[in-house]
Amino acid sequence: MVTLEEEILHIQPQEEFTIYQAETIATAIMPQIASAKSLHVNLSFTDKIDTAGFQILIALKKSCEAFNLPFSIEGIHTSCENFMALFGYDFDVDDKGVA
Amino acid sequence: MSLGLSFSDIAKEFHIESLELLEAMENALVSIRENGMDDETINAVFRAAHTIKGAAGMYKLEYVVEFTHVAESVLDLVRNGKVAMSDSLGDLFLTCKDHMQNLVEFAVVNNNEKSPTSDLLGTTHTLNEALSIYLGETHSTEITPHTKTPREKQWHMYITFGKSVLEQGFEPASFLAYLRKQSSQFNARVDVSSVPVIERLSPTQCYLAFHIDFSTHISKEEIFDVFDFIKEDCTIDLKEIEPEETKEEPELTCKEAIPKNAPAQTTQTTPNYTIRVDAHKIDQLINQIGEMVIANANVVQQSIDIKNSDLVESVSIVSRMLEDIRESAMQIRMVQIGETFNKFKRIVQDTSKKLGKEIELLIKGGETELDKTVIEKITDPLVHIVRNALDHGIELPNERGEKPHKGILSLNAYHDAGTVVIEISDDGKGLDEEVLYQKGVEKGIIEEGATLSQQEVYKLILAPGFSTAKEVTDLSGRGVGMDVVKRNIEALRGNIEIQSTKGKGTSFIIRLPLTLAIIDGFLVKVGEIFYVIPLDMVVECIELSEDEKAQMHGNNYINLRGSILPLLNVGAFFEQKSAQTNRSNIVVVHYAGKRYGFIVDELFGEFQTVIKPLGKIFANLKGISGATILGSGNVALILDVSMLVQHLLSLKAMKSED
Repeated sequence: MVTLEEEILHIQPQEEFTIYQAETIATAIMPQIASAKSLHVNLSFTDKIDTAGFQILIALKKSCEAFNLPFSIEGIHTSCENFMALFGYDFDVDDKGVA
Repeated sequence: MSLGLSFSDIAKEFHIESLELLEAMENALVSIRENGMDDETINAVFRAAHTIKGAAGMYKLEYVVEFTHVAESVLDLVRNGKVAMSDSLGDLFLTCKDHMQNLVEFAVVNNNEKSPTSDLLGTTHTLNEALSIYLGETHSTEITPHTKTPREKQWHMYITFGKSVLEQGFEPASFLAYLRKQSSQFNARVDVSSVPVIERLSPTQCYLAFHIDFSTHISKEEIFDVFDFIKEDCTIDLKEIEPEETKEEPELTCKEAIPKNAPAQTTQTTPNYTIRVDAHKIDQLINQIGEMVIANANVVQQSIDIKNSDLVESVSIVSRMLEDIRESAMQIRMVQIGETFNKFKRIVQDTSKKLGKEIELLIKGGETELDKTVIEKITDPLVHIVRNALDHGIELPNERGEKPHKGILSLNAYHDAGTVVIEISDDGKGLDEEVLYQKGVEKGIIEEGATLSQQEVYKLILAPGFSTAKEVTDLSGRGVGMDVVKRNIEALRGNIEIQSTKGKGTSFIIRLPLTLAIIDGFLVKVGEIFYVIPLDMVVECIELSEDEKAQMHGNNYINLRGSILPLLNVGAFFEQKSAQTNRSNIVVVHYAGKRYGFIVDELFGEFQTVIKPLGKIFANLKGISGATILGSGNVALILDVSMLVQHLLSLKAMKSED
């Protein structure tokens, strides 16, 4: 789910990325993030997200911005896209939400 | 879209909130039936229905939403003056309220995993048909709220969710999704400025806020209702955007949203807001304070033994403070009985209508407070008594002779000497002593020729299997119920008294303890064991002299000032050795109008007793109802006077048979 390969931290939540997985994923990320040169989130297996999952994505992005690390997300499932649309947030567009 | 929040996470909260709203709805409808309709009351009914629909919608309880929507549509027509309120429509709304309650309870019990039963669907169908008459041909059960009324308004909202919202099981997306459903235009932008970097993130806390622009037909008040479940944990700034005049309304917060004249049920405006706390936590607090009282009694005793006056002074200050804390903790459990009394308005209205009687309900002392546990347990007995009074007590209008055609049933509550008294009085035909006596003989409850006091004759109606009604109705008259009433009241350490005047009416006077957690007791000792007898049962204490012992000739009674006093030797009952002393004492108790004596070794006097329940292992122990801990650390057992008296009476019966 969270792996560090060639200084890239890969985060790949499974079917659900909700409050029930948030603690586990966040805990797995913390010790490895300092060693990462970039972060990559793969949501292609995830068809259920909630606020807790969404906040982790935002927090990861903010961490990358703070340390000037590249951050990317791929494979956003339609259901997750709908969720982000409800929040008015788009990870692919610069003009999004209120940072 | 999947939003991660399941019904089971919120079922309890949803159930409690819905029941409160339904109760508010019933009270408002009953008030309309009684006093006629005004804007405020019909709005309260509408708001309750709307909020239930909103909450049900968030958790996909479609069958609740669809039915409530139809009822809400008719309510909307009534409050807008398009449909006139009538008695029959009021009755229909009350039936709808009952059905909503059944639907909500079905959803909660089945964790929203089952479809409603055919009975429930049948009732939904029947009620929908009845409601559709008022809606006319344009009615559709499809929920298209924004087309229902043409007047839409544009709003801008800035909402900040509290940090604990997620941990409480709420999902902000659910609220947004529901608001979007109520809107023709909806545009939200999440404000993530408070979300920290991952290293500082607490994953289960909420850091989000939202700017939301939307157009909706629902009122400002109803917009706030969408967030009703989290109103204590969010901040909402809501501004109306008027397209023609750009003048904006002042900013409103969640607590300011409801108009000042809104009824008390909408708690947003009430400065004395309430916090819902699990009853178990309060019980635990009271229990812990009880432990402190016990521990403090030990400290007091030691400070006296040490004979250090400064220490005694300090300890007495702590004791006073502790007593204040105990009083305050007990006060948390106290609730006004008025809410329970209000439930009877509908019972009286519905029952009198069904029986063809005219009955007015008078309520006094609704502000009287007593322990919530006592109130919960006394409600059913009160319903029995009220139904009996309506059914058998108050006559039909043409049978009331010179009395006004309209009968009066009054409920009154007041405090009296550390107890709460509840009186249920009617101005009906009163009890007929002769009829009751004959019925008692027929049912084998008393023997022919037995001499009974007036009170004993009246109390025959509380005996199991007793009924004087010529016809059994679906309201009462089955002879079951009144004995259960008596048993329930006695289980609460209360008692019931009946006063009646033939032709003028009957009063049931129920006396209950203020709380179940503490009693005033009378401390005695047999052998090495301490016992507590509830003080309100103790009449007097007398010494059992050697002469009297000799005169007993092995019998278990003495002559007390000309009357026979049956005696129970507490030590013998519990098969324990008495102290090696020649002196014995009798504690005279009164129970069910008679006096009995308990033989004990030593008397210690009054003792405030923090009741500790006995463990399951003692469940079958006869004669003991609980325990308490004395300041010395010793355990004292609380005597179950009712059971001990029953034992005495059974001994008496066995001797008579011999």
